[in-house]
Amino acid sequence: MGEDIEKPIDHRFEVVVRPHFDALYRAAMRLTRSRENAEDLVQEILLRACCELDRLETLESPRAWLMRVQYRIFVDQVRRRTRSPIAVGGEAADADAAASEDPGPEELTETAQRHRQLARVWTTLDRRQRALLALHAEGYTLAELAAITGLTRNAVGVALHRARARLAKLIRNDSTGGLRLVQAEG
Amino acid sequence: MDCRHIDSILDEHGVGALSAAERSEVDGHLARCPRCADAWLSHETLVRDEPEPPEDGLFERIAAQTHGGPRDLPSRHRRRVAPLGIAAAIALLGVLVFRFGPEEPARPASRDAGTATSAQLPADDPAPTGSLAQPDREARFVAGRDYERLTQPAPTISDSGFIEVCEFFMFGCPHCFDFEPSLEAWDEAQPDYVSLVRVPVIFNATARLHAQAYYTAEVLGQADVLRRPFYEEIHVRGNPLATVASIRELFGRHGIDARSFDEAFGSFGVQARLQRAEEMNRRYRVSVTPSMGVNGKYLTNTAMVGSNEAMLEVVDALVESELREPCRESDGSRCPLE
Repeated sequence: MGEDIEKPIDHRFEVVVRPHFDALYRAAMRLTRSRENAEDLVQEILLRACCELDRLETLESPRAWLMRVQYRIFVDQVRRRTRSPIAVGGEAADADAAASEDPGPEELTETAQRHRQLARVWTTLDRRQRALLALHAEGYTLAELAAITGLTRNAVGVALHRARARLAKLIRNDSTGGLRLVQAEG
Repeated sequence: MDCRHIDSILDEHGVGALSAAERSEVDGHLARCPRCADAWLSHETLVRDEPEPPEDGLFERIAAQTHGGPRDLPSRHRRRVAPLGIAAAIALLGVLVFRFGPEEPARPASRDAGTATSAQLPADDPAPTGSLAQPDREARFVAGRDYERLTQPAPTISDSGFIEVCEFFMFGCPHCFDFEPSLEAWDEAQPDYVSLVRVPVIFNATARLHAQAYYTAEVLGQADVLRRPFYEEIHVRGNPLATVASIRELFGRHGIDARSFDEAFGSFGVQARLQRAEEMNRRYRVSVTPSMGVNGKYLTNTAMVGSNEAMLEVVDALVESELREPCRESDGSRCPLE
């Protein structure tokens, strides 16, 4: 630790955090579905990482720590926002804005339609469901999700199954989307 | 190919690794099973919705700002950080001093500061070494304390393939009335394979009358519509609904004419449901309302766990437990998922 203290903090910070930044940002995009909110989220993670740099340097897996921080900030942020009438409008407006960025339905590819539909229904899911779905879609395993969320692996599995069912129901009920069952490619 | 297999493929990110034959089996199952088709739809929709990459230089920009602390952040990026506050940032650093030394010393004086920030921080980091290992929380609910395991299975109503959750309620019970919004929200969030069944409890003559009214509404296809008005009539408007005439009048206000009501109220279907409810009350050994039963095997209530929310958490854990239960149709136990 002694020699580390001699290094400039920005170098230490870059060595510890930079390798994980893209993963954090991708997850943040999936969680928030908004570039601005994703940037704010990763900024807050980096602020906390900066405060805990000494500790981060001792960890075998800084990413696990960073992902836990991200999860907690996201869940806490949404909880704070849902307690405020103004903030609820703000979050809904985020989703609306995300949806309205796209062109009209006639110009949309299937991918764009799906993106738009997700933006419409996303904030209807509760915060933990959004987090589990987003992080699992990003490739995290159930064991990793358990470590990130503090739930047991089995609880993550059950919660994830419920979240999938809920999302499917929202997608199917989304009258303007027009998408139905997405056939997986072989 | 069964539902568990489909769940496993999705959970373990195994879609891309399927052979053509497996893929064909999956498609066959999805065509027959709406639950799995929904799960597949959600998974594929999310996975294919690739996030955009960060702008070039974003890390460097944020890192440079972050090092200066919140005061140096430009206005847009301060927006979310501001609630943390400079005092909180200082507190975070204070916590660092006491909590995160290499030897993990005792955590003394700063307990208050730590408490003040613990909701914001991963200060209770369950894996100080950064490992993904987790403490085992499986045993957080204990049989005999948080729930009872029935010695003899109680009858269930739902078809095989469902995990059945029963609410034992009385319209006259204020706690059941208070519980109703939470239970409705809980039910809304359940997957299709969880089936919530409402079972009236028949502790006295009025409760029997209300149970008969509930099943009358059910026979008329109006149970979900009339449940809330029935509760509100008693607990908000102060009408005890202690006579058939008053119940008939309530139904009338919701578009059910007296003749339809009377026919259903005295019908065999309602009587059969009342008998079944009494049997379930007896077999589950219900003694307080609200209580909740799971799959004919478990019973919990607020007297055991202290609150409605805790009761739902116990139910969630029991449903989870049932989900993992291997099928043993030979010994008569229910198969949670086919």
